[in-house]
Amino acid sequence: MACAPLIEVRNLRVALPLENGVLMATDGVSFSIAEGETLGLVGESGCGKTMTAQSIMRIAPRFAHTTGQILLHEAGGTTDIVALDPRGPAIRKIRGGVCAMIFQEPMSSFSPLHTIGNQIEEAILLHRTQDRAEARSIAIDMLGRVGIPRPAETIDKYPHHLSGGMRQRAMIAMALSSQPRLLIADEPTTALDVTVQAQVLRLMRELQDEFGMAILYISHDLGVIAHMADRVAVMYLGSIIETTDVRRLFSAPRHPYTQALMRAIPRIGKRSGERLEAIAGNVPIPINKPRACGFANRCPAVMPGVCDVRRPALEVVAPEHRAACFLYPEVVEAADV
Amino acid sequence: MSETELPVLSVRALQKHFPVERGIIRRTVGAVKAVDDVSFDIAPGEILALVGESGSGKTTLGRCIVRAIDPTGGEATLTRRDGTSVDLVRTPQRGLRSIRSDMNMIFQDPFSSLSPRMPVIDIIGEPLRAQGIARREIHARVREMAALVGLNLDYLTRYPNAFSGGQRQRICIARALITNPRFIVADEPVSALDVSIQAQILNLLQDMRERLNLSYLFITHDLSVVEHMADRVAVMYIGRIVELAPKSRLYATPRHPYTEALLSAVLRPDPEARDQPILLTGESASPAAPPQGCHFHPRCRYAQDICRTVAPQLTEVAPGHASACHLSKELALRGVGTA
Repeated sequence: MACAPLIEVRNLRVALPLENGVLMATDGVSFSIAEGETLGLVGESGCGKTMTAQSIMRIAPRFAHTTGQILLHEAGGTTDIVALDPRGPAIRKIRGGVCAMIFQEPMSSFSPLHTIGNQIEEAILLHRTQDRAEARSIAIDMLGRVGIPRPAETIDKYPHHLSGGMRQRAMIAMALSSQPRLLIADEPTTALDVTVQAQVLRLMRELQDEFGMAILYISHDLGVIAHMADRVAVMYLGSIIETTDVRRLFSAPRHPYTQALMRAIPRIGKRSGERLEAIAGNVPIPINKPRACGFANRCPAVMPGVCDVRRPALEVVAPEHRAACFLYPEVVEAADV
Repeated sequence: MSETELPVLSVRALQKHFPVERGIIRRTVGAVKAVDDVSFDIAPGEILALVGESGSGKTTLGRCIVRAIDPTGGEATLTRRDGTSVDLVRTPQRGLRSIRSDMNMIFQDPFSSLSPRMPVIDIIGEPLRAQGIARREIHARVREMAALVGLNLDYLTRYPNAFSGGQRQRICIARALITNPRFIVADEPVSALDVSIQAQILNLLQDMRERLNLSYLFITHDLSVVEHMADRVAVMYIGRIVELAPKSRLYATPRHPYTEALLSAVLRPDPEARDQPILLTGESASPAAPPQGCHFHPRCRYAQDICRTVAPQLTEVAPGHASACHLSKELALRGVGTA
């Protein structure tokens, strides 16, 4: 997967000024995704994964203060999304065009007042063609591709006519109708039943093979990530704390948080009835967060005087494998310089 | 779990039919059979997991048993701590108060199931107050229970908003256990929690079972959690139990095609596993208009003519293992390898 990167996020910081301090939703996040690649972004609630996705689409809350760069590389040149006016014409071309997003709750991304077809056609008219008849036939074709039965009839239905799985398919059809280069999928199957999840995941893989788009797949579910991702980035408290390819991450996790997470999940087919190794404590709230490793207060391998006074950087600790933890000499060296 | 001991809970032919009304005079035109003829037992100290997808009726079943809603038929016999039995279905609402001390419920969402206007010490003590116990004794028992479930005793006078999701679920568990019940209905108790917190709560529920000799009806959609927690598993599909078996049997040798599909759809956190889910066509039918015959037949890859017309009964296919499928004897279904 050493293709040219399609999107590069560099040192992304999103600060939310609140009444009782500044909440750092993402704190220096960097990653890149190549054409046709799937990057899995894993983390628990509040770790900043959704804010990262919203920053790429520029749909983060208006009072959020965003710094860093999000570079979108296209044939025609490179655009820094962070520098764009969030309501200007340039981002409108990208949003729903080059970059499309699907959400956990499909009901919230469809308007209940318009038919499914109207909404998909609107996206197509904005990004692909001016011809209404052509837009409609593209929409019907897309609905068929995502496995919706009788697409020529379903196109005139309203979102509430469809079941959860079908709405999720319709949302994928809408997202893909503009032929995006990057699809951001934010927990797209979390609200679905497992048998329907299996259908939707299969569909996303088939469509990726067909269109060659890159996917940023956001989930808290390690099973889904193992199934979908080529590479994985693990987030904790606003920072990426480990990133590598999917096999290395699951076979030899390096960061104590990732290691603890892997031991804490019940696994099917593994010996059951044993106690799970729970991670003690709770995720702190990242308001006025101190300069320290965010995981230090829950970490079984915490080194007092080291982890609680400096913040570890994400460094290469093994081939193709980065981790942000002072257990690794590479991280200690980087901090000393 | 000795054979001779009476079950804590014995459910027979339990039904919950919701009327479907039409028109301005609200004429009843049909019924949604949310729970349709369900029977099972739970032994003392046993965890029975109830698995199913949305709309299968698993939550309705749990609510019928604790009488949060009234079932429309059948029996549910609870054997109380004092050895007497009581049919929960026929007990009038007024009589339920005394039974509540033997039976309680834990809900999915620890954010909406706690009153925001009560300090935690009063929330946990509420069931005791309802029994008319003196305030001094209530506070002593609350502190004891709070320590048992791992709450910080210094924070008991705070309100729920000061607590995280995992802490709130501990509060809910303490409230459910304060009256020393025998039996708990736990409805998706960890689904709203983060992975790292889930493990804490699952461990706590298991510890409590051992220390207090509790039985659980553990309702969930997550088969990995079920495998970790349950002794036996009941699989529900559109209001009916389609398979009921000891956990290891159900996972290794499922006898119902729906169970097979469910197990295959669980994605393991292992990129080498290359799980190949059995792709079912379509989605679960609405319980308002279930298909004729076997409810699962439109999605079943093994369906034959008989499945389309005759509803299969839940019958024993091996000791302790029941399945509701006409083809149970013929099919060789794929399970999940247990290491």
